[in-house]
Amino acid sequence: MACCHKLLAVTVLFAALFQATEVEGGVRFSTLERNLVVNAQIQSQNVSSGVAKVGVDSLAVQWNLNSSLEIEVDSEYASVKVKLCFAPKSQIDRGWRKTDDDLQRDNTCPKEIATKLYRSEGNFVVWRIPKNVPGGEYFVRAYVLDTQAVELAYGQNTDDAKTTNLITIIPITGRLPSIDIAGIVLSLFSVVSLCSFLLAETLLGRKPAMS
Amino acid sequence: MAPEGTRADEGEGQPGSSMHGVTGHEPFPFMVETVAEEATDLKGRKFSLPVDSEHKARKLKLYSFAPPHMLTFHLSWISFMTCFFSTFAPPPLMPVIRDNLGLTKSDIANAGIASVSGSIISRLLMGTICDLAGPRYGCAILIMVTAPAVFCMPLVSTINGFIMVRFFISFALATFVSCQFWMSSMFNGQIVGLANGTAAGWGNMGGGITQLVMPLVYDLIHKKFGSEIFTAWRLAFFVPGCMHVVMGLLVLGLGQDLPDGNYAALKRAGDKVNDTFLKVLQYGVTNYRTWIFTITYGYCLGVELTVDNIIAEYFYDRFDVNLHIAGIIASSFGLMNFVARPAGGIISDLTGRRYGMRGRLWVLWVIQTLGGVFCIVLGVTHKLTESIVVMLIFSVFVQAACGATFGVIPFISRRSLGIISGFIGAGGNVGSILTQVLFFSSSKYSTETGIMLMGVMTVACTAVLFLVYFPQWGGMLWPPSKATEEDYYGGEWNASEQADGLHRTSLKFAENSKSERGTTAFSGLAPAPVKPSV
Repeated sequence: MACCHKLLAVTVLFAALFQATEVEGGVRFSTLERNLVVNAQIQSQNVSSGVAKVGVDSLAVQWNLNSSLEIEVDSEYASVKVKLCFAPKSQIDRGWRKTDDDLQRDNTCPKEIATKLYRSEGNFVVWRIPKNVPGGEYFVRAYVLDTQAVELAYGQNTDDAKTTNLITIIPITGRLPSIDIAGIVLSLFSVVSLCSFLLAETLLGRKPAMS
Repeated sequence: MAPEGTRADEGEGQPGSSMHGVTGHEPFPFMVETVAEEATDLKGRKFSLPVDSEHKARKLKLYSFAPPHMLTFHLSWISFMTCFFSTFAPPPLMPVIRDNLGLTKSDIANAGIASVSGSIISRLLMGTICDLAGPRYGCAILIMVTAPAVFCMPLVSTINGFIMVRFFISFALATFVSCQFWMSSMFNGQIVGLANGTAAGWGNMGGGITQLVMPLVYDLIHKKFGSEIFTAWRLAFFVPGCMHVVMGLLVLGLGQDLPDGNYAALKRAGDKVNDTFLKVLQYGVTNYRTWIFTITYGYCLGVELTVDNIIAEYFYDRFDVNLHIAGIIASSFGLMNFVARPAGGIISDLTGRRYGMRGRLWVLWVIQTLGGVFCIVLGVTHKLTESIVVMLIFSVFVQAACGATFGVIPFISRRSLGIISGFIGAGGNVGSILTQVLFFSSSKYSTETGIMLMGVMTVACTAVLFLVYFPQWGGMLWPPSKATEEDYYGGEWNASEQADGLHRTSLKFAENSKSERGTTAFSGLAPAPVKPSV
């Protein structure tokens, strides 16, 4: 019976450990003020296309403090991190891109565009879209950070429902002509060498039987 | 000439004959004198292992590559491992592939379902191919014909293309059948169970090795050679493709079907087919135990295949580890097959010796249910280290259950063993399809909830084992009746077939299966001593 009590105690202890303290969460997005005004345009050779191609086109992003704010809000603002974020349409049925209010667990914004020191106006960056950006619909969001890199406020180029001013990005396929050729050649090699082997064995006859 | 009572007498090419000897529990109805001193191969050299009168090896020397037996063993399990490797090569790279192709969770699940569907068809065909053309050709043809499918993966740019390619690659998993058939041709009945269990376990390990190797190859190509990520994963697929081609050529060049030579060169003495496909199918399908084990195998092998498909992405997404760490963690699941699957078979055998068939059933139920329990625990574990530990324990039980299942299968039927093994093997794939469809296709359940529910379903479905009843040995809850082994196995033949003496080999099997009574103290039945039949 004593061994049962010990076993129960150990089981309860393990269960408690499993439920042990969660990692401390980050800042919650819903607590942030939307104090920045952010604009983003596609800079493309093909101006009328309305979409951005990775590796070729760029995004031009400007941001400044909302001038209609009356009180001094930016006393602690130290830097700004500008990010490329998935629009809801690109998040459907893709749990790995889910939006979470806890910014440490939030996966909405996968790519960083720029990190700059905070200035209330005159901020501008041109970002060539890298080739590792997946295709989809995006918007641009800028987080304001303090000296401890904690988020204090944000701004984004779309509305709160993330439906307007979305940027469509066209990805690369990743395929190269050399890969295509190598794949076809090796496939043919496999089939042809198999057939040759089988043919050779049939024509040359197999080893005599012994039983 | 082949001695009386050998495969010639049973008729090679009979339906199901390709699976005879798969687990080594059938007696081989011929003399087993050691002829090591005089036995020579085709070239007049002495065999490096002791052999029986059919020149099948009586020992398994794992570190040897000597032809024909051990070379065959290694060619066989490595080919099977290569096919598992390529079938489960996409999952560890899924975080990159899903962004490249714009896949949603349902797309990934559909591809995962496709990756276990193709082999249902090919496994059923492979048995016939091995019977007719031999395991060497069967294995080599399959592995070299699926190589183009693997080489098509780097060319894929649409969702449907991805699903189709995974479907065609999965045909390669039928090398399981050629692997088992080949072991049965090369190894004596007393050790063929061990040879088959080891080869199957080591082959299944391919699902683990791929999770380790593919992210490393991808990393190498991306970081060292500077390829874009969406190109690097494509280049990585040339590794499994080339493995297919190399193994195919090695099997053709170095392999041989039988210890004495290649299949087509050996004439079968007595080509008459003693049995008809329809009769064998009838007795297989109407035996309710076939369907019970089809269901339960779906929740050990099926769960293993599903986890191979989802586990790397699970660790990547849930615990924020990088791609190759997720791959290492995921690979440990499949790598446990190295010992877990053979261990399951050995535990079943040891239990069967003492407690008979009832012991085997209980042991299978306990192992598989514990597998389900630890699956539930994995789904509710929130921290990384604990998750890894639970996953390892879970993998041991699930894979041991696969091994233990094959400890029972040979006793379900003697006449229809091949077809039944085929159904049960297909049941494993169907179980995997079912769990992926129910729990991992939609965003309704998070992956961790899906894993937990899969565990619940495993525990529930494994409970059908309680319904298994062998009249001569009993079931889990009921003792045996007065029926004998001869009644059970002889009952698969009708009166006119028995009058023709077609059921002789079944009766010999019945005699030898009396070992499944266990010891007298447990079963109350007098265990008949197993005599080598002549």
